[in-house]
Amino acid sequence: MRWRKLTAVRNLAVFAVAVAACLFAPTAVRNSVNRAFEEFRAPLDAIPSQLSDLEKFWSLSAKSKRDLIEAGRDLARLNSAYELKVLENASLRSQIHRFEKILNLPSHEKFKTEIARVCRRDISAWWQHVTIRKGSLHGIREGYAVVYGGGVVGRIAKVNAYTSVVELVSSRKFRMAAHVAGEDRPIIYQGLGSLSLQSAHGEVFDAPADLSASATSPLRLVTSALAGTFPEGILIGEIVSLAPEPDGIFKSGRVRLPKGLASLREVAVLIPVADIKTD
Amino acid sequence: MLFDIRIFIILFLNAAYIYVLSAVNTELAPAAYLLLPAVLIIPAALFLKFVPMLAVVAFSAFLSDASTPVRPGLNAALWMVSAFAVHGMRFRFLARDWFSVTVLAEILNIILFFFYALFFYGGSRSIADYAARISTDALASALALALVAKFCVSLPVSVANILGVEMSISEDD
Repeated sequence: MRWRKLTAVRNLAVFAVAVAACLFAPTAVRNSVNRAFEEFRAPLDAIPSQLSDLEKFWSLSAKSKRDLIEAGRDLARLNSAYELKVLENASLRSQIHRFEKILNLPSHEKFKTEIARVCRRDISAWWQHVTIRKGSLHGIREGYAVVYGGGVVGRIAKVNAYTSVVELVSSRKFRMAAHVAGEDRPIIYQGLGSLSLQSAHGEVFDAPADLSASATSPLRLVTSALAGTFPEGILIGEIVSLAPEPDGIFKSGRVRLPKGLASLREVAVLIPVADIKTD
Repeated sequence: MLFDIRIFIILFLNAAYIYVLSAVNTELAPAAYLLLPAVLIIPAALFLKFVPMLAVVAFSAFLSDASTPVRPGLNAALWMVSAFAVHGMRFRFLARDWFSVTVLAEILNIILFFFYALFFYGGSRSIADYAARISTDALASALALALVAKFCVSLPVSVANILGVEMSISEDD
């Protein structure tokens, strides 16, 4: 009986110490434990994405020779079209460099892209994140912009060795300077957080009073170079409503984000050229 | 006894559950989000001795919330308190029938959901939006739990049996 009482007291003491350690341990200790677990967990997150790549590979390898020949022919046509575009790009680029030299302008090329696969999507009431399969070893740092074919994805929130966490443009914590396409007056954009069974939305503040938008005639909202991390003119979404703010000087409204944001498979991280030179 | 294979069975299964949940949530996003801490807590709380149980639950909590922006340690403390409560009344679940195990898992999960909603507020346009989103996720999680709770409690017992070890709700601590 006495032995049982001792065990109960010991258990209670262990429990109290463990809970206190979790709650009151120094921040540095808690953060380093968290980071260690994050690195330990990284393969768990990457496996489904790697398996999906493997599945795609096997499904492609099961295709008939005829299908492959047809796909090859289509690709050859596309390639020849792209080759022309590459030549055109190269000549335009050299022209830009020449003008920059003549006019003594700073370099136009500000970002390099790093393509990364999405391995995990965490979109809940508490956080809107995607995890990508590239990290600090690929030159990615916190705060870098992330984009895809349909526009802005978000910003790098956390970097591990092989994976990075992207705060989505729909997150309540995501806020940036933007402007309407074809205008240069700055507007503030902020994500609205996750809504149940609906596509993602955001909101804009401080829009000039002369702007108007509706669901049938939306305004294209694009990134502003004022934000620093994003290049100019990348699509954020469409402003579908604008109403005067209480002060009567500015308008605020709702932004419809592209549907592709919910099914991202591949994104591009924009790495500032200045950082590459520093590294 | 320092080396107890049952600890590793439950740890391994918890890592597998986290992997499956991560894959399922990736496909479900952004419509719903399954949050099933009960399946990671209950097997450890029912079958392990007190100190190994705390270690397994804390490890699983850190592993589960490693990539979420929750204050490190807070989730682990919450899970340990839940495990402590379940461990204290483990004898009520000696039969391990579908009804009792599912009810236990549902109650534990909904309590944890409530605390998550309270502690981990991440911002939303309005309280109504936040409540609607949490209700959707809680409902989806409850439905999933009704299907998997009994299986998740039976699985470690089956794995232990295959390995020739007995896993049951014991009195020893």
